[in-house]
Amino acid sequence: MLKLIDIGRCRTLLAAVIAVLMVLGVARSASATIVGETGTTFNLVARAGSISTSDGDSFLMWGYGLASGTSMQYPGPTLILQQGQTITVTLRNELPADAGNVSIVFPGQIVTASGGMQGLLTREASSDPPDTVTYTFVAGEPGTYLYHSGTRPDLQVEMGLVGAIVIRPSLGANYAYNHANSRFDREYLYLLTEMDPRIHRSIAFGQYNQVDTSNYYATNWFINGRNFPDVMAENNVPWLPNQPYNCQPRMLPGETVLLRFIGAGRDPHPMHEHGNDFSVLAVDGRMLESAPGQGADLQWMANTMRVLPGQTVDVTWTWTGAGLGWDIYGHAAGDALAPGEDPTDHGKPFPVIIAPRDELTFGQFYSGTPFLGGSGELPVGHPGLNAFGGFFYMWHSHTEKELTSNDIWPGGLVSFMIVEPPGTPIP
Amino acid sequence: MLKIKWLLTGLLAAALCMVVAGTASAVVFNLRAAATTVTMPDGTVVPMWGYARESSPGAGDGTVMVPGPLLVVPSGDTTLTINLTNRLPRPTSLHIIGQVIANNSGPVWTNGLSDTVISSGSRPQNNYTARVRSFTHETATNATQTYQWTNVRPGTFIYQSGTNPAMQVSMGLYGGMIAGSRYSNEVILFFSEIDPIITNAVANGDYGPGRLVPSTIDYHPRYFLINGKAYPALQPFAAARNANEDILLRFFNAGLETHIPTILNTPHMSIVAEDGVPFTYPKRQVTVELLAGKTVEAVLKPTEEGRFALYDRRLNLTNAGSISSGLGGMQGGGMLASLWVGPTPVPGAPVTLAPIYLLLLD
Repeated sequence: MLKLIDIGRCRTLLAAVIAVLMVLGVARSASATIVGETGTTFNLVARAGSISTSDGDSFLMWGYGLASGTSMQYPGPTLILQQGQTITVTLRNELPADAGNVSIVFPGQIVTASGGMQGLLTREASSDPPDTVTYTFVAGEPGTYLYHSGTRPDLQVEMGLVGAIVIRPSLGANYAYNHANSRFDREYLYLLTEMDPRIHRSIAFGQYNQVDTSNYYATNWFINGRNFPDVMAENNVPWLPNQPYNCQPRMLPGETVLLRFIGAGRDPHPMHEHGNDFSVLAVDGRMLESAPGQGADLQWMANTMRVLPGQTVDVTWTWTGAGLGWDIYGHAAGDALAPGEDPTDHGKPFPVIIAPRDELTFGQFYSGTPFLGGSGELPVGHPGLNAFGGFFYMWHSHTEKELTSNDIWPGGLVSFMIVEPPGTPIP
Repeated sequence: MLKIKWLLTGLLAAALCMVVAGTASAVVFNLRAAATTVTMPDGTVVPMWGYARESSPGAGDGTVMVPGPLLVVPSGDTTLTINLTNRLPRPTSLHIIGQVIANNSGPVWTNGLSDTVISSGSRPQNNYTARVRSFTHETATNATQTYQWTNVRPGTFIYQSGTNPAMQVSMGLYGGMIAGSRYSNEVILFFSEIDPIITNAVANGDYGPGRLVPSTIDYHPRYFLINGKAYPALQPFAAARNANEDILLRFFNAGLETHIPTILNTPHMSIVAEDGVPFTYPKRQVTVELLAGKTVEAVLKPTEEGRFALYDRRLNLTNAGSISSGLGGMQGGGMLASLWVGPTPVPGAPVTLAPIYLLLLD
């Protein structure tokens, strides 16, 4: 009797993580826009730090951080830019001296680099003594992009030197591109990475000759630098000081949600969404249009989209409950429609008889009734993690072994979209 | 009049020698399949199998190279003939992915337990355990056979061994084939990988059932190459003399893994075709999904002169993990190249580079 009616497998998952989530105190609210740094000048540093994984482990990382801060973060600060502006990014290398040079490349941008020394892909900043390099570019076209180290990227991307870029179009903040059909109500970032823990151990222990990236074998997977279920906690929670970004999509019925996927690691990840198909709007920051000005007339529907390394994919998703065959609000035939409700199933009864409470097993996200916005009696000890009576849809990698954190299940590339009832306050 | 301008650095030309028919008629190439060795940037010498172009079938001249010679079929030509002479210890054959062979008397069948051929052509009657060893008719050791295509369609293609391809393609029996051209600037970018454990086992007689390396199931490449070279042996490609010119990038992948070629400092490429099939609507991307055995054509139009780094975004940027002392000394390797747009010669390239080769076809 979960609301996760189409996700039978999730019942086990939910039961398994209940204790973990009770300890963490799962987020009940999250930002509906993408958290990051705005402006035209960004002063970044590369530093060493550590992150926590959801299986209780921790790893040495190298990451970008803000020069105004004291640490690094994984992934680096999300840079939120305005189309047409000239952007300056300085990078100071505060990695340990024997880490060598570091740099940033910006795929999809035409970059001028100065300072530091010439490296293979761009100019680099030395770690000994700490040096600074400057990159400038014009945020020419709106869309989703990434940045990452251009210095030994097979090692330094793995170590965490990656970040996201969002360039907002001149059309307006609620558009992904300069066309009306790229409008969205809410947007969420999915920066995907993976990890081979052996490399981090070797670096941490100074066993540099043990590092062989041609033997790369990932056993940890991240969205925005966190594993499930940490992705569902708030942004900037104090117990994840170097992993500030969550991934907790929420929406109201009928809204259009924009998901910005970034393949920041080195493996492709087939991201799969329950609840409805999505539309693939853009790839690599280019709307899928047949000719300029046509809008995304070449977009297609899917429920699994492979995100390639180095690639960005924007998809839009909406949900009204259409097609379920029963009224998600439990309306009687003469009741008024709820906002965003699909009228087809209005007034149709819930198709099964709900068993008595003592005969049910309760998932932690169950509200007590199967209806959107409903609340019912829950057994003593139930964590009550569904504050508003929302529907939880599991969004995850379809490479199922990536739903683990170093072989501990559940973890890895999983989060849940929460469709909240109309009127729920979502920041 | 068709005019194809080829700008290749000396190293590229050495790695991927072009073989071009002189006049517009049926094109004939004489290829020799033979063993050779390649030297990796870390000094490792790897035994491989490759192809050489011979002046006549069995002549024995020409240099064996991996990948094999680039076969160019001029626009308007629709017939391609390859005389294959086999100097390998195993039977071999040829096929071109995406082109229909005209004179195939294969496939070649064994009983699956030994190398004894029990049939060529259709499956042996009432035998449900027979296995295909070759997609096309075989060329026995020290023999010469002809492979012919009479309806060649334009585009970018891979030719490779059609015999036990899991092993023979891993050994290096592949090359590029292009037919026709619409662009004055073209760059060949042929991706491949090497698993030295498999190639050494084949060369040393340690490969096959019951031996040290029984099959290719544990294929694990350690070297990642473009046009047969890994960085830093890979030198810049001269791509165009001026900015704002279209450059056709012909990507090939004869490796067994997916690679994601990416180019920096450009807003996007226009991906115009895959497997020799043009797209109705080009894809505007900085990432190219280059699957195993696949070709992709992309057009790059740089807005300024300079060097454009090109690398595999799967981050196969190492040479068997070889590093010098300390992380600071770690050098890049693998599938890392750059395109040069501007006057030649390419600045900063080693002075030992051979002159740029300009090849004009009329």
